[in-house]
Amino acid sequence: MASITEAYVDSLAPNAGAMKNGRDLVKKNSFPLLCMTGDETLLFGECKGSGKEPYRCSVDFIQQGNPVFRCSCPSRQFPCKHTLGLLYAHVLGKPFEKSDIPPEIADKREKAVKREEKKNASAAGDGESPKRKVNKSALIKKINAQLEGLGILEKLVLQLVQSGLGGLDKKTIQVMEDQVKQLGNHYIPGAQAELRELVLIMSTEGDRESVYSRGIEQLIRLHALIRKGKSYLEQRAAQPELPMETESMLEEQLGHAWQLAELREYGRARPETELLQLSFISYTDKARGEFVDAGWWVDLREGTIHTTRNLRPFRAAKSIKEEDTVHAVIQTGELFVYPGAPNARVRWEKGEFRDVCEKDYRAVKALAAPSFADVIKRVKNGIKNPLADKNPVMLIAFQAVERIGDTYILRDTQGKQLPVTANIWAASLHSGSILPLLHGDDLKDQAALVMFRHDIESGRLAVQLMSIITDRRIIRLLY
Amino acid sequence: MSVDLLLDLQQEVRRLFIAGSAMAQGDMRLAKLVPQLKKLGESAPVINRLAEAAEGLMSAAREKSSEKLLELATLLSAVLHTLGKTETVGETQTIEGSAVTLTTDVSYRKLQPLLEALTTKGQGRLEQLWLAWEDRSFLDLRALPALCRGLDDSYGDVPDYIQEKLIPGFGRDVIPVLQNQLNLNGGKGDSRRLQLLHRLLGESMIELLLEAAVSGSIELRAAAIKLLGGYGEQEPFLLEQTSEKRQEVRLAAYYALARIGSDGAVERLYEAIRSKDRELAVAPVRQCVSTVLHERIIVQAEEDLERWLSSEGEDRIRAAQQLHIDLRCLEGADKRLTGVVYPLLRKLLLSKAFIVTETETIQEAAAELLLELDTPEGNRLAIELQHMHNSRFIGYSFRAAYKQLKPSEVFDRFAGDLTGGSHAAKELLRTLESIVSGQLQLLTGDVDKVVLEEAWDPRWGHVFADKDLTELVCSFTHRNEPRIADYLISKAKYGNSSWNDETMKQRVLLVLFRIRHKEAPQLLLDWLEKKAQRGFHYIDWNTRCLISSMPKSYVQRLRTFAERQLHVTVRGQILEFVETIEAAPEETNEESGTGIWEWIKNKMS
Repeated sequence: MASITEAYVDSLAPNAGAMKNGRDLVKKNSFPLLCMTGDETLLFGECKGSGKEPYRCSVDFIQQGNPVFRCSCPSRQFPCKHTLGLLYAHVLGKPFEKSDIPPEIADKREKAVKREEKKNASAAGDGESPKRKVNKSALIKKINAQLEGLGILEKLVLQLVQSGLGGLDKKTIQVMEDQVKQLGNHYIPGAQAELRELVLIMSTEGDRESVYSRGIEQLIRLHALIRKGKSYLEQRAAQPELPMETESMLEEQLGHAWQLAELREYGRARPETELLQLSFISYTDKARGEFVDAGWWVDLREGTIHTTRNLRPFRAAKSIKEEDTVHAVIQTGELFVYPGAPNARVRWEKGEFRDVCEKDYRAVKALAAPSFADVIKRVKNGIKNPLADKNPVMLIAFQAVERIGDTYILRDTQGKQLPVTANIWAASLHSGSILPLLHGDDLKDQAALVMFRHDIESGRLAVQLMSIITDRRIIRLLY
Repeated sequence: MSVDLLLDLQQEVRRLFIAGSAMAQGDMRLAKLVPQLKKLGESAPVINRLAEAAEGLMSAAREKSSEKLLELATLLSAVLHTLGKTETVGETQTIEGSAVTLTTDVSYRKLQPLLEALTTKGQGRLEQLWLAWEDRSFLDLRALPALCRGLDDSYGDVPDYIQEKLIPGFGRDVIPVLQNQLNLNGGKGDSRRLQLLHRLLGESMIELLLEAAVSGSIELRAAAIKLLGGYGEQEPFLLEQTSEKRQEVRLAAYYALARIGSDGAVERLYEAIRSKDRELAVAPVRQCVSTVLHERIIVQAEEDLERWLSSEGEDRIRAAQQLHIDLRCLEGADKRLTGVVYPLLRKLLLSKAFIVTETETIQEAAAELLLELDTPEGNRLAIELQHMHNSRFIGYSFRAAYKQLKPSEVFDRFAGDLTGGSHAAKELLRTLESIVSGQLQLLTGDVDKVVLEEAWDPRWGHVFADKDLTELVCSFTHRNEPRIADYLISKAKYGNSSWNDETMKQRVLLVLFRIRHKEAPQLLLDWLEKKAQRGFHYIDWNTRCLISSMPKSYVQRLRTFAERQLHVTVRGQILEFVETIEAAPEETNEESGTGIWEWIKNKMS
């Protein structure tokens, strides 16, 4: 605990508002009592609130790297501003009295230890965790409902294509919206969201031509999802004991939310991995009704680019932690890899931070793909599949960033080009205005994290520059 | 593989998606493409599949058409996705790069709100900039272009803050961005860019300044010309600019000349205040660094006075106007000029012939200047003016006396003038009230504020009570004096229930509690009873202060009163106060009536 910093406390806060509120409590001297135990593992104190009684808050560092927050306030935000304020008070150098551990916390610590022991004992007793049993008849019932849902969706799509997008009016859109709701009863939230996406596209105001282009793309996607989904589900209905599809993202696209236990069962947990975040952004997915905090990470050993996606449904957004840029290297003993390529989603339950060093940057550069031709081939091979991620992210090595007219391009050692034009994310961060401000050295012989996009109308494959990785630092062009 | 052919096919597919696949049967335009596709298909099997899919679509029955169209589109889309072009035609240029040393280490949760504030409209954006300043999170490479763009923001406070606070924080790193964004034909934002660049680059950008001053948009020309005032050698150019057509340009040129202050500049400014530009030139002339100009204006003013006295008709009006301009030019003048300004003002203000209705605004300007001098002789002259010219200057006279004399002397001199309904009495009262309210505004605290005891003679309170100026009496009451107290009690008891009277009564009660008058609790209770008769729905801040000032001995009566209230919230709140008063420690209650209020406030915060 001795080494906690302001940045570390910031990283614990659920959102920017909580950071500010926590700091403000310290500024306003709202802590009449600040204490610390002799072994420096526990901070506790009292914080003035709106009620008569002050809130009693504490932060327990008995487990290194996994602080436990406790507070008597009724806030649903976790950790609350009072416990954060306590930490800010500590890092901002407010005096803490040495004091004995309060009995109720000693009590809670004891209980936690017992819980842990019990858990370990039960795990040791059973050996391997028991294989989850599947209720076959329930599964078949569910699959049938899913198939029925896909049937409804198919009928709708075919009807729409037959009558044409040009004839789509407000009334038809209304009917489609009702259908979206109806799909909610068929356990295919993924397909439901794809249909909602179509409705959203078609009800966009403005340039009709681009609306049609996006609408057609989405119809093709839906069609593919229906066809693949149907054949997969029919097969499973016939042979329910078959394993779930893990080669592609089909299960997730239909709407399955992978549980970590399932991923472990399918052998998708990897030991000892080190990840470094190269880029981060948060965006709103309207069709799915959630905020998405997306991070792109490089596996420091093999160079794969993974993504993390922290989903915050609108309704629960306030009480879910908003993720942020991570500068440190994450070390985890068990990395769960979701099905999907080329940027499979990953998660970890327990991880430790370690400071990033120049060796890591050099390692990232060494892992970057040296030939644009190879990368482009890989990308094209991927995106031709209608259900594939249309915006794959790659780590590439470039020889120079140059300009042709108003277009920036990346060039590799063989003289092959990649245009930097697509602004897929964050219009407020325009790489065109930032690139000329970089050092000449940063624009030569470095690695870059780029996101691809094929533009249907112009027939061009272009990239958005997400980060440039040099020997000494990461230049983040997103966040 | 002929990409063009595939693009043609894509166009047809797109058309059918929009028109509906039902129209596809035997489609002529699609049919035209099929033979070409087939021919190509001989060497590329995938094209052959496209041709087959197209044929399938044309021959499909209506109800099967959508399935077929989707099949064709899927296949075509897959093919086209493998044909994406990545080469750009043209000559490549290397990017020089810059010497900017900023990093990109600010995290998303800090940077994103700042960028959003800079690139959108709506409220709360300025606060976001303050936050970014506080935690230094604006010092990030990615924020730099957006911040510089923010100079164009239409909500003036945002670009002001960016220009004054944030951009200077970047130091020289901001230069390439500003240079890149600068548009000499732009608007306000670009004039800010020019100013910022000049602050950083100084004389090395004189060429650019001159270019902007000559060929920029009006906004930019004005900004550049004003900045050229820092360069004496630009005087000929600036002199030229004073005969420009556009007023903004001439104004900027006057400001620049005022900064230079050379003989030529003084001459031109002097001419300006005697030309049709006289209004425009007043502000620059006031700031002129050379006092020679002001001395000339003073001489001129004396001449104008003479001319006014000796002429008639149009000439007389013109002379008066000129004299007014002259005096306005002297506002805020250098202290060194006091010696020459004073005789002029003295001459003006003591001249009977000058003090007539038609010169009223000029007289006021002169009197204002006299007070601004703030010299003993100036103030003495102002005090002397008290009863002269039909007491016209009594307000100025009082202000001078308040600065110059002891409180008792001020009272002795002026208290008598407050009686009666004369114009002078009203003017004096107005001045007095404005001085008092100015003093009270500087005090922090609640509604019940009082003037500093040593700054005023204690007898004022009695005069105000006699004149029934309740507000002033309240602000001048420091202690329990029988005569004042009686007056206040009468005010608390009587009067109607209009909002004005009610507010006044609250104030009076607050004063009575403050001076610890023994009747205050009873008066408050009476007042509450009366208020309750008309229905008591809400306890405002002042009433809270009053109730919590009640002594312990009134707890029982207050409780009885509370229990009779129909409104639940009001009842609850009063009972809460009752409990707090009961719980308060004995000594604070005895010591002072307001002590408990302090104590309650402490508990509440």
